[in-house]
Amino acid sequence: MVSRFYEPDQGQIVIDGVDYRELDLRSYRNQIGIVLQEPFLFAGTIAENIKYGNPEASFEEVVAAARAANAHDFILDKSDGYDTVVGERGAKLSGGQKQRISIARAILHDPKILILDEATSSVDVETERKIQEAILNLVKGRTTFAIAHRLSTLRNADRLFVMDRGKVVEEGTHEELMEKKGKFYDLVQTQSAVNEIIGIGAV
Amino acid sequence: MEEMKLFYAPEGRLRLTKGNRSYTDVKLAWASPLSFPDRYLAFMNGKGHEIFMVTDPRAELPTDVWEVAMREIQRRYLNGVIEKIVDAKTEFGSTYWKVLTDRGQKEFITQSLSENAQWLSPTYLLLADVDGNRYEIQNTEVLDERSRALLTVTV
Repeated sequence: MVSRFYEPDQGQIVIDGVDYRELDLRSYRNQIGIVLQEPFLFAGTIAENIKYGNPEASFEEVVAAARAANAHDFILDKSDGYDTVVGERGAKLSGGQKQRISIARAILHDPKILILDEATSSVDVETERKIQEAILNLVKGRTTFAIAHRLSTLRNADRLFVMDRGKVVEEGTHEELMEKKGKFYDLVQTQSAVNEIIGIGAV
Repeated sequence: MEEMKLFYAPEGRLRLTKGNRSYTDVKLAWASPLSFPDRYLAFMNGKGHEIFMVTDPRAELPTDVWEVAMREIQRRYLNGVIEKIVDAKTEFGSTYWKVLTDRGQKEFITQSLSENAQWLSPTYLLLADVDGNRYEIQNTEVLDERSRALLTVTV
């Protein structure tokens, strides 16, 4: 809905006080960046995949984006560096590497609004840490919508909305929701217990 | 640029001193060896983290550092140059090559040529085999007729 693939049946979505339906759709979507759980990479080189975020970018800008996304070092480790062909849908890269390429792409795109859709799920702890660092670089100065089941990724959010069966059941800051001891609190407790068992750190 | 030295200590292990810092097991890598050959040379520490990168190493690095760096990167980017294709046949997505290179006869296997055969120019082909070795055909037009025919059918 934020990307305006769907429009609200009731109420309105306003961007800087303006109903987003009044904005030019192409221009509006150009201001949005999305990092998905399963990032889409095409069968080109790493540089081409990052540059997709801004085709006019120079090589130096591509490298700067990759550095901010914690991707530069693993790219240099490959014989062809930024010229490495990633394979169909990035098949030659690990899940964490693909994710960091997609974050570098988003950094290069430099969107005003960012959507992180389960961006750190399905990766190991060390990779998650690297992706989290990359995301911290990415979200600076942007309005960010983060969708996550792994609640550690949401700790720094200004506002949290807890969804249950398609409905918002709670909202507030992390601290407010923890004090409330409702649905969010229960989820945090459950994940903390699970994390203690599998050793991936507290939420 | 800070004062730096690049040398092997002990033998075979590259060491870099830059300003008052010292790095062991240094690795060198071209950031974009195909699109920007001879530019963007990265120095990495033993853990694979970038120490720094120079855009134009020949111009920016001290001569003695550049000479050692060149020796090291030539070792890393050692590609066999294919002079003749003796045979090439594709079965179930794998291509079996028998070639004559600048270092003698060689047999290797490539998979998925759409990804592992890269045309760097209309006549300059780079092949990567299943073990990560790379082979170049620097000018397809100077190959003999049979080699060119095999190449046309295969790639």
